[in-house]
Amino acid sequence: MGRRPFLSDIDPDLTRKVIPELCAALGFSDVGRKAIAVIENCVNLHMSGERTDANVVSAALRGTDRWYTLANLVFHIDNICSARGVFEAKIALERSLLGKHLKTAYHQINIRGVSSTVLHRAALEAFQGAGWIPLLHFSDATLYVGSAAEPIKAPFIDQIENKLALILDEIVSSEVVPLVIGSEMQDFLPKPELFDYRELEAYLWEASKRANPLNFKKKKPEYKADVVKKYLDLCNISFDSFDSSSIDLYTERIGIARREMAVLRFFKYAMSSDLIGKDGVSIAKQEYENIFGQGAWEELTSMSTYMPAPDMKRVDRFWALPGCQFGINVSTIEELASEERVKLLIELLSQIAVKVYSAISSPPTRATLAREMAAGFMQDLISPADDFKPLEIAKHQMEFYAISKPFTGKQTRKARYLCPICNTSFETGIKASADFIDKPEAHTNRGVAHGAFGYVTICYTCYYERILRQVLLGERAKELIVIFPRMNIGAETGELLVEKARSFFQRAYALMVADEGEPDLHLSMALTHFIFEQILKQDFSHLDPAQLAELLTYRSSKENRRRNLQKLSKALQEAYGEDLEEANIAWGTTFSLWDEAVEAVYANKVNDDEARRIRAEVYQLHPRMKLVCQTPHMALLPLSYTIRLNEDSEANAALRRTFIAIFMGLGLDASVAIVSSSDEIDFQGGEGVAFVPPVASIRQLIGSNWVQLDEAERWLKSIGIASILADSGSYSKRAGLLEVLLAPTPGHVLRRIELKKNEEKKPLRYQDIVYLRILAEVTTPSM
Amino acid sequence: MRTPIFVRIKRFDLESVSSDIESVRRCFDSYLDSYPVKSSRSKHSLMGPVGKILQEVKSGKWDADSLAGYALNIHLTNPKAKGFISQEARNSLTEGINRLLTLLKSSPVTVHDKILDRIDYGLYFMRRAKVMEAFEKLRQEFAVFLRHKYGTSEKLTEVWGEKSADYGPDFSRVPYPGRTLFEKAKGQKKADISEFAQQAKLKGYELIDEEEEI
Repeated sequence: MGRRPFLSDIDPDLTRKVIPELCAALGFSDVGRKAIAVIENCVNLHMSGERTDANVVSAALRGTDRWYTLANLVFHIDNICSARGVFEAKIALERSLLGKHLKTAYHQINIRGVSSTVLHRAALEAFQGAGWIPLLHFSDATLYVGSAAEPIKAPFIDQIENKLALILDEIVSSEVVPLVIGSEMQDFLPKPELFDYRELEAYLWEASKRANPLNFKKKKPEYKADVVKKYLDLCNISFDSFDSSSIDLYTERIGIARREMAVLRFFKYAMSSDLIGKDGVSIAKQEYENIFGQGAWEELTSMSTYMPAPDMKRVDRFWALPGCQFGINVSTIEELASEERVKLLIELLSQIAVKVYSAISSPPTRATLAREMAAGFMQDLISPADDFKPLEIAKHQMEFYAISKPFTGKQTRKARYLCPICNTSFETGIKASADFIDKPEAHTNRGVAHGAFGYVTICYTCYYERILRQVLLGERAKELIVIFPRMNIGAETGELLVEKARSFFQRAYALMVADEGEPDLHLSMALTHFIFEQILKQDFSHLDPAQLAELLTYRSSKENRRRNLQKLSKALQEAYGEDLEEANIAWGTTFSLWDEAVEAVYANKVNDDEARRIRAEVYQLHPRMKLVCQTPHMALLPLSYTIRLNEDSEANAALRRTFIAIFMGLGLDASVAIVSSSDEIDFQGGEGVAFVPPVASIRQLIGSNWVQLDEAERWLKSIGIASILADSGSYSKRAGLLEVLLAPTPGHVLRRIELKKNEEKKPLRYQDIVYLRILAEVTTPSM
Repeated sequence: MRTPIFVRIKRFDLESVSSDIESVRRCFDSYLDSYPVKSSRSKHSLMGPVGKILQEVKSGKWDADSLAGYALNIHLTNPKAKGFISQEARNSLTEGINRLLTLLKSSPVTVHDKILDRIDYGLYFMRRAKVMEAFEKLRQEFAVFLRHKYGTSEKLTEVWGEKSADYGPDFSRVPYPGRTLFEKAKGQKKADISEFAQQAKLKGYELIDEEEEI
């Protein structure tokens, strides 16, 4: 118990040996003997415990000037750099010799997710703009310094917020059309905040593409007959007089009207009073009825989720319009081709919208969203803060904690909530949907055990965080790879970490979209056995970040490669009506055979957007990962898939995630955690190399919540080798990895492999013994 | 008031006897180095009398001498042993049995099965790995033999008349020259295996086919 005795980390012999080598490596060729002696003294006496009388006198006798001050500087800089947090570093700096010459300031935030990277950037830029120099970055803070002689002050909070809003505006201005359109069966406009009136036409086109006209045709005959009957009832036509051919005619008609139904439905959402206000609605009604007739607006606004019979009745109004009204040479619109009808409808609705938006004072845009998001994320800024009253905050939280339980799972006006994600107390939040968190309707013990339970309510800041993730990734993020510096990091080293993360992502991106490489090469983080087999073939410690990304790739099987090529050939021939000449004209090529053309498209040698689109669709060449890295504090890689194989249990999946986290942690020299997108990031890096997911059996196996540096390589090998052996020994697909790791001896695994080989009438491979030897080394010291 | 009874159960930590388990294994492994196995594929054959020892010791009725005698009898009845056991092997066997009985005596009965299981499968892995490594060593020697003779694997496939075969750029995929391969081989391939087998015999070891023993 108590303090341990002083433990020196100084070895004078080693200092003597290393300094000349270090000087040579750094290019200090003209360092004299005297200077070397000063440097040696600085190193050997930089710890107060080493400054015994004998050591100091001995150093003085070596006869060099200024060494004591320099040794003190080394001592203080060592203390500042070893600080565990921004406050410790700030105090160490202020108490040091340098404290007299330097001013200090810092910014600190509460880590939430991708928004934290943006907030860090805004704060960093604001401080730099005010004349401060970043000295040390921590995952949640930055320590700045400035000359004591200069009159510099910390930036105002408003400045940081403005910068944040600008950055967010830049992000949310990107292409988000697919995100705005939801599911026609549930919520067609799930995120109205992303709606921008200037993109309405694009939304309507996207909505029309979401509806498949063939779906209705594929339904059972009884269902179709029932729909036709309901439709005829609505039109006051007797169904009894109809024969099967007439029913088929109506079925066909309802089927092909599917896209127009979707367009009208989205228009209804776009013209809601929440977006355009009551004045806007009355203008929209007037304009809409001018075209579609009296009572049409009521019909439009009464549309609900997809219901073919009443929806057809609404489309009938459009189809019945005379062609001459729009300068088209048909008696009614119904006679036009499907694509032309949809185009005309979108044009008409867009014209109505233009009139509405020009008449109202503030049409909906995403600029408002960027401001609102900035205001929300500013709550995460702990310092600088205007009026930080921890006592009041605590009181408020206590009050909400006491009364929020009955309101969990309910949305009422008087409700008081605690956010289930970040624990913030709030009054007005947003009803959670599966679009941004997992199982929002699942009961939680934050609610009362009896009575009805609907959906949980989350705070707006968490909601905006999820929206931001979707905007950045282009779809819902399932998991987040969080990369933190392993401890505090200087500006230069920080840039290096950012560079590493970018280099890793750029290579991964190139592999995902296969612009240059073969499209049969895929990137997966769940196939740990493939990854480890590749790791075993090379010296993992000497790989650069781009090579790390290459280790995550696998090639499709021979059979799949053949099948994909067939699919590509079929898709290309369908797209060009099996006319190679037409394809040659479009691509500017001179292929004489389809096989040649397919080969060229496969190799991405055809410079044509449509051909590339078909290639990407067949081979699913879409980036499923995005890098969010604004500053050296942290980098995030949101994934649109989960790191687990189909039948994996939670334990198996947790082991795969731990493996990938160690892989990236060692490769990028950082702390890495892989968390579900619904989870809060409640760590700050520095806890270890890799985060162990919260699965009891896995944490018990590893013995900690984080894999430490000295254990990282062992666990990388253990999980990697278990992935290979679980496959060789036909262990259960659910929990095979854990079963291998818990086997008392490698002999148990060997027997299992042999039994499988005997069944297959194959001999044991020498390679299996090599793998088992690795397992023996890393898992069971006593074997 | 009734006096409460406190029972403190201390779980036995198997890791605390891991070095003893290891030493028992090493003794038996040393003994088995000189035991002539009938087949390297079956666990029963590979473990020889040690498998029987581990089975019998569970009963707790044997002392060290009688168990050693029982094991020696099994050893000597193996026709391949030709009624002989070296002094060194006998010492290792006796030492292993003594250590095993001491270990079991000092451990709770409830963990005996686990201890024996660890000795059994751990030893089995050691023996199987040794055999596989011996096979691999021979296979690599065969590859060296072929590389000296033919230089390139293309030349080898040409001489052996196997156009579709791929023996790897540095003969790394040359198969183990076992009996099955020999019996199926024709022409120069058969001659090469035979020549290599002769050389191996001169060096003091013979080719065993791992696959025939499935």
